Amino acid sequence: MRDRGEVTRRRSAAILVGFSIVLLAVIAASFYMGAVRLGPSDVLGVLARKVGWSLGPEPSVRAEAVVWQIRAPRITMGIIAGVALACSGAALQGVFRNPMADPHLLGIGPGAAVGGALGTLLGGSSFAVLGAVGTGLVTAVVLRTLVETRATERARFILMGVALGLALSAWVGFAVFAGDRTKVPPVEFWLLGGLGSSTWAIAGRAAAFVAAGSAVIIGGWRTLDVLALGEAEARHLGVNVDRFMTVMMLAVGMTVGAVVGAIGVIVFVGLLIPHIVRKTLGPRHGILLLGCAILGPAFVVGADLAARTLFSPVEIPVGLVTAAIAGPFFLWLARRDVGVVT
Amino acid sequence: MIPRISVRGASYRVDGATIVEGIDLDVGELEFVSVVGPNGAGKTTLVRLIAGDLKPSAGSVMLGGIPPHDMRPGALALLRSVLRPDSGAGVPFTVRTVVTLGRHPYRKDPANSAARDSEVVDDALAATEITHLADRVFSTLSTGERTRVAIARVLAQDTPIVLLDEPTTALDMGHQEATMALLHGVARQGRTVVAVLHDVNAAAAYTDRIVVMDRGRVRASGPPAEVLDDALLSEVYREPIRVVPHPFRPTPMVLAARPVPREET
Repeated sequence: MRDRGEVTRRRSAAILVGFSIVLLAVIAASFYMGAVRLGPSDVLGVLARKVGWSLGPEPSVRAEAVVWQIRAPRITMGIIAGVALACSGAALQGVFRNPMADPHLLGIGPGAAVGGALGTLLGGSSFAVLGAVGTGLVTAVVLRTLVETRATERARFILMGVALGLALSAWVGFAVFAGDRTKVPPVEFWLLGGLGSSTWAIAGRAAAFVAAGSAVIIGGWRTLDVLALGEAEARHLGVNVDRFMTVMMLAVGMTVGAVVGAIGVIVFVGLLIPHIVRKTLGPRHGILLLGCAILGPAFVVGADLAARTLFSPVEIPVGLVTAAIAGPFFLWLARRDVGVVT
Repeated sequence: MIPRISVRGASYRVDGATIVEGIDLDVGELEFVSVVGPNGAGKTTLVRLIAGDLKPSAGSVMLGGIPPHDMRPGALALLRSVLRPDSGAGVPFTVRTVVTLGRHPYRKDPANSAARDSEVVDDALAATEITHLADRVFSTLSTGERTRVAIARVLAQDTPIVLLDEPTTALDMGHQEATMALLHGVARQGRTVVAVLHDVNAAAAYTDRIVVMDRGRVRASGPPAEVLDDALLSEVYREPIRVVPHPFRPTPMVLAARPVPREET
């Protein structure tokens, strides 16, 4: 019998340190690598001057532009997206007690993309995040209503989410093709994601919503643990299950919406990262969400690095990278679990 | 004094079917009451009505004078704990974590502390004889072990009213006796304990009152010696049953009386 239970405190700490090292390494690599080759002194020089230290020789204007105006906002956006998507996935899996729940698979991502495209169409690119948050919330409410109508069996609920997501993906296309295609990003941006157009302004808008939504999600860790005992048990232990589900769904809708408005749908993060973290840090939601908030950013930033360097100078949609890596890996993980109750 | 549990003419109907009808039941402090009856008699529904899981279609259910549906979930969780039969088979946590989650209702209580939580949890693990399982993963345990963990979780919740749906069905004989004695002691500490039981002998030996249910109604209710008789049990269970004095316990004993086919040798 292979117990895959909780992990000791010391071991958890070591694993979290390991995750953090991976994250830092990926961030460092993302600063150095790319179409423009930079040395350590360029990157450190620019970053140090931004926090007020004069380190080494004055960096060139070009290095300053690449590091601070291109790579830094892009990496920041990747970190924001990683936290948001991984934690949202963990939260949905906890709320529905189904390890296959994922914000994009359940349609929240495509739903948000509709609003992102519509927002851009009607108000310009600065309304993409706002529009996506709006329709992300609407999709979350629709999903919540679907759950409400009789305790839908979990498998069927996932299928309903998938159907919803496919229909909404088509709507993204309608929104894009209906508009001025020089102004609205293409369908592939919305459905496969891309961090290439990240700016500090976009990252800032997304960060505000993601911070608020993630705070709600992470704050729900205790209740997610209780809910793991079962909905009836959670009620018996004083959890207002209906209200909690609504709050979590709205938090996920807002968080995922903000990310999709900024960088489009990046698949598999919300599915794969919580799965790996659960394997390594155990099933309790406090440590699970913490691990997701570190490993999620590492995965997104790393995938983005691959997306812009693999076929350099051509940049491919980051969703292709995440799906190509995560798909087979997830199949392998899922196969290993045959026979284990999840 | 207001009884802890007061059920008055309670009925529950769903999709046109009547599951329980016209239930009257009062249970007070220090009382250990069992609910027995054949499958489908409405025992679980009665427990769920008292727990506040279901709202009666007619009549009323009161806990300490207030309908559970009018209480906030957090307040209700400090008043009653509930054990469901074989719940949460897939729960991935360790036994200690599952039992500790029983302390969830106290997380905002300033009088409570982590030290108090772990003290209560240790006591609950010891009382249910699962201290040695504390670090095992819940989902890897046997059904009987899981039941004892669930009982420990209910004890950790430390509520005046304790409702248990089949707490002993999956237990071996030794653990069944130990659990019944434990629940009897829990009631005598000043709590109100209601348990759905299939073993009428266990109910007769340990509980103060037996409620016999059949087809959604209460057929009889009272001390074991008054309630248990051949005719009632045989009718309710649709099976010849005899009640005799227990050879060395001061309680009635229930025996199946169907003639056993003998093989010719």
